[in-house]
Amino acid sequence: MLTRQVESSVENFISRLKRRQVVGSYEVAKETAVILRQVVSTSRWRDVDTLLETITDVGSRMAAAQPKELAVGNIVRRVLKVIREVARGELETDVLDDSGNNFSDNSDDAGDDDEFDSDDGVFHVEGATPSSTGSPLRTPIHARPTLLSSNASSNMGSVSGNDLNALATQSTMFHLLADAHKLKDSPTEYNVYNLKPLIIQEINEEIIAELESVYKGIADQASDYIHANEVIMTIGKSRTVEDFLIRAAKTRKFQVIVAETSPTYQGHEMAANLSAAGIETIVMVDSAIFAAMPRVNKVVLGAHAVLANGGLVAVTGSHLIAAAAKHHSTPVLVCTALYKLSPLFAYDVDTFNITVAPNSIMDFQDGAIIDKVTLCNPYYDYVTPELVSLFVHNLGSAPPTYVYRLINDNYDPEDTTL
Amino acid sequence: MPPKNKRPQQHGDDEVEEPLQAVILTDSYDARFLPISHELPRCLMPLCNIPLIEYTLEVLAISDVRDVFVVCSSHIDKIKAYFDESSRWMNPKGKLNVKIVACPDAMSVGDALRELDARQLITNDFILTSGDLVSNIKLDKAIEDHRARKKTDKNAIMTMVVKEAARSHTSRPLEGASIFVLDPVAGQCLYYEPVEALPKKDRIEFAPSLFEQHQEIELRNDLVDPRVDICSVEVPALFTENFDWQRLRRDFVHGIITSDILGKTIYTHLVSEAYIAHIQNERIYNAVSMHVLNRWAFPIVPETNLSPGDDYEFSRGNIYKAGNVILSRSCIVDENVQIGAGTVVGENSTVRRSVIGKNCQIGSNVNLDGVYLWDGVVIGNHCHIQQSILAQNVSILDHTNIDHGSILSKGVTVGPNATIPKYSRLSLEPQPKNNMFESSDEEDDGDNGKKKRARKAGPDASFFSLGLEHEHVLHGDHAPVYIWTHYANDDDDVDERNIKLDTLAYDIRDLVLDEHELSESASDIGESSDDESDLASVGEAFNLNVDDSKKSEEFKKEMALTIERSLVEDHTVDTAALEITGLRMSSNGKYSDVREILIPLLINQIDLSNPVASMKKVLTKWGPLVDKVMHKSEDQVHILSLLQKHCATNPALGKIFLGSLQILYNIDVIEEDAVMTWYTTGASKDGNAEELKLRDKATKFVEWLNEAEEESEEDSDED
Repeated sequence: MLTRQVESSVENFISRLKRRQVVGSYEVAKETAVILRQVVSTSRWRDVDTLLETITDVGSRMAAAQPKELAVGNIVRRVLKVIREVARGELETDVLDDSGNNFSDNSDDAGDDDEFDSDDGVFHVEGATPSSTGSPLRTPIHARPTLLSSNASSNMGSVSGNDLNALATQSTMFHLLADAHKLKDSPTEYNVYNLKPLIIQEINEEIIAELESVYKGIADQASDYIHANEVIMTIGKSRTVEDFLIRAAKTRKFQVIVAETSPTYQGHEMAANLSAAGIETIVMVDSAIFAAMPRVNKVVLGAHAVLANGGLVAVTGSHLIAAAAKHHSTPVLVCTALYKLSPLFAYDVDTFNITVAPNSIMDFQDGAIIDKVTLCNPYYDYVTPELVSLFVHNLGSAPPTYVYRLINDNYDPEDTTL
Repeated sequence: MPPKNKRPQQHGDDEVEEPLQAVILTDSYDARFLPISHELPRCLMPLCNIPLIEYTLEVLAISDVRDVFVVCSSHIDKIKAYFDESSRWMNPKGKLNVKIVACPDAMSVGDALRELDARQLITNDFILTSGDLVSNIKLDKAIEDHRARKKTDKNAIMTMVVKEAARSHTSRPLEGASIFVLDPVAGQCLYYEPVEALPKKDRIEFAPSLFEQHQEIELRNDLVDPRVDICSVEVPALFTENFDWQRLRRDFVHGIITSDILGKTIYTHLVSEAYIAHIQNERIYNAVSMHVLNRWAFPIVPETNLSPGDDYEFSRGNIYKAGNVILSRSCIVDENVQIGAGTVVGENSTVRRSVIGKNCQIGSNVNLDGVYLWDGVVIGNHCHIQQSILAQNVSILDHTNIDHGSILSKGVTVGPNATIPKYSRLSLEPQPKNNMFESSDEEDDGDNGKKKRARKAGPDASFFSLGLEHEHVLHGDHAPVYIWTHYANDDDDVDERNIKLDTLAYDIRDLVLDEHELSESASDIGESSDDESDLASVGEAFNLNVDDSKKSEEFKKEMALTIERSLVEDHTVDTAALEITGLRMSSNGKYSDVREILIPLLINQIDLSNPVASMKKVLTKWGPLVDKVMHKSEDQVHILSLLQKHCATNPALGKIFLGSLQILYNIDVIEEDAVMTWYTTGASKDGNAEELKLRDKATKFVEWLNEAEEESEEDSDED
């Protein structure tokens, strides 16, 4: 279904992911979004289901290329969600004339209710989900969006307004089964021409534009969390954290302690950047983290990925710093963009970890000794949710216990396994 | 995204540099990995369950390479079949454009490159490597350097990629190392010498002139040479010109660097971060497998799943398991283990430091340590196997022990209740008795001798208590298995022990050392050997000079005789030139010496009673010969100063100086620029009064030249 050009750019992306020529979740996320947009715009599809299938297929291949790079899967899920939403919205306006308008009014209210602490469009769109089902029973549906969302798009085409209420009051599971045969004869083709530009526009606005503004979105909240004369501790080099702290430094004066993050020593670079921005910065060995913790008012961490339980995958040493903070009851803020939020869950602490070449621990040139010792150089740490106080994301903030909700808002539960 | 990651076609337009070509030599032209290599080319042998060639292509795929020529000399159909089946690289949409070049007649690297030259496949600079390279290197930097160097130095024809590794490093071959003499600033390789481990060598010799030409010189023996070279397009042509060059390093690199006529230079690119290794022998196969499992080559690790369809996952202790592996509850999988899909490990079995292929069946109470099981191996119960390679579909029946260093080729079945001694090589096919591996006439003697040595070397008594009917065949409830004896290279002077050193899991205690080699241990350094004179022990640097000057004296004498004979007997210029070249090459003489001898002899040929006519005759005839011993414009200046010097020795000769000069100029042996250089620089001005007088004489000639030049310029202006 893919054109040759898209296929080759997908292949190219996959091999570059495998070879680790694209690294960093931001770059990966952005490129994934661009490729998926290309897939949507160039592939031929006659109905939304075909498109969803195509995207799922391409997405799962890309995600499998580098299973540790969760951003790929996250973006794929976001795109799938966008497609589902657009399809629903489109059908609603086209087919359900009167009722559709009514419900869409409702849906706006619903959207506002839904939002917890953000005022961005992402959650507005979420509001459209219940509306498209056309159900008056909004509350129960909200509680179980899993079962509803998947086929809602297609059944709408054939079900009349009266049936709709009846259907919606039925068990949602039954709803799915009952509509299965109706999918075939629903004339969705004519919508496709309208859907395509809409979906592309949504991907551009929802995903790519959001990606471009993540750093700003997080940094804008800096002054809410960092107060004058505080001592902040951080580890590793994260552009999110860097922007966050630099923004805070524009209005406040505070001190940052950076753990040097051996063996990559990213902390050195981080400290150099922070001090260049005029922040009073101290670089410290990793082993002194615990000793220095009593002086610290807040720990700010970056993340490679945030998992469904609120645990995070972050640069090695993060667990140490978070555990020390917990011991001293120091709050731990995690700055993370929403695209790093993954609906996956680590059953084993090493699941999403990467063990890189041990070069930086012991020199390969040292000779025979390297075959006589076992060297382990994990790149990431898994930090359990209990150690995190708050996530600051580009649309607001949330405690770890609320991450499941963010995930429900961002991804369709159907897509959790690609 | 950095733009360099884009596909080459996309940025190919705005860049001047075309993507490189690559040549993969799949044949190693040696006898390693026998008997497996008898049935399977080395590049298709799996390392960590992926054929070696995949690693090589992976390295090329992340470099700026488009066309890849896979040159094969043996097992051509197997390699072709492999590429036809694995569409990953043959895919026209893919980045690499892989072509298979069959050279069935090639017996060496040199032959293969000559074949490539004959077919005119190489149109651009290329990466020359072997089909057994394992690396995570990005060659961009080396390629960039190579291109930059080529812009400034047209003679830079090759960049060798080398990695530093300490002397005791396991990734170094034990059989021999290489001494590199480098200019550390430019990275130029000034001298190269391969050094074999045994017999021990305690000196190398190179021209002392290197010290004059370079401010700093590094002698390095800590470099591992993974055989990755970025070569200019003229490299295959050089092989064609020098038809006797066989091996890339020993003949080509050594030849290029020591040659003063080719004037080509070779550079090195030192790699420190990246992992790079070339599976040149069994021992390194073992070392590199362990390095890959220990993640030194990251991201070239099993769970990257280079070959499509693999699904290895990494877990602590460097254990890599594919999805569909059945491990019994009581088995122990120790550190550094890779287990391929579909493999079953039975109860109470222990696996450590091993790579197990796909669909292997391992029984219960089996002990595997340092074992490489390729796909489809079946191992019965109660077997103990140590540090061995078991190729595809080998089956080991119950209660069999295999000692370290053994290699079992495809499909071999052994057991039950067998004991395979160390360093055994077993195959279903009989060992070929042709000259390639063993000269047939002395077969019996050789074998007996070897067996005696084997007996001496270790407690191999069990080897003969196997109940063998024939010495070379293992019988049992299975197809007969042939025991391959250790191959001897009869064609050249390779010390067999060097080969043994690098066999799988070779125990250094089994090495037989001669008396005098033992005495050459480190404790003896500083004591002079008996056969060396006092002079030699004073300092080897002097030794070099003494040798050198003595040699060149002899050479000069010989050369004078040759030239004189040619002149007297009135040979043709070509014959004379051939004789001179032959002599020069055989005694490794310099062209400057040749010139020093030739010019005086030539002038002496001139009949002074009739100087004008004789001069004309002699110089017209022999001028071309003078031309043949010159290569650069400096050489012409050298000729002029020789002429000046010689003519100054005798007033009679002084008279013919100007005439000779003019004739040499007229027959285009000496060019105007050279005359000018000679006249204006120190070449003519230093010297005694007579010489200076000659220079004054030449003034007129120089003035005339200047005028002629001006005139010709005016002429051209008028046009």
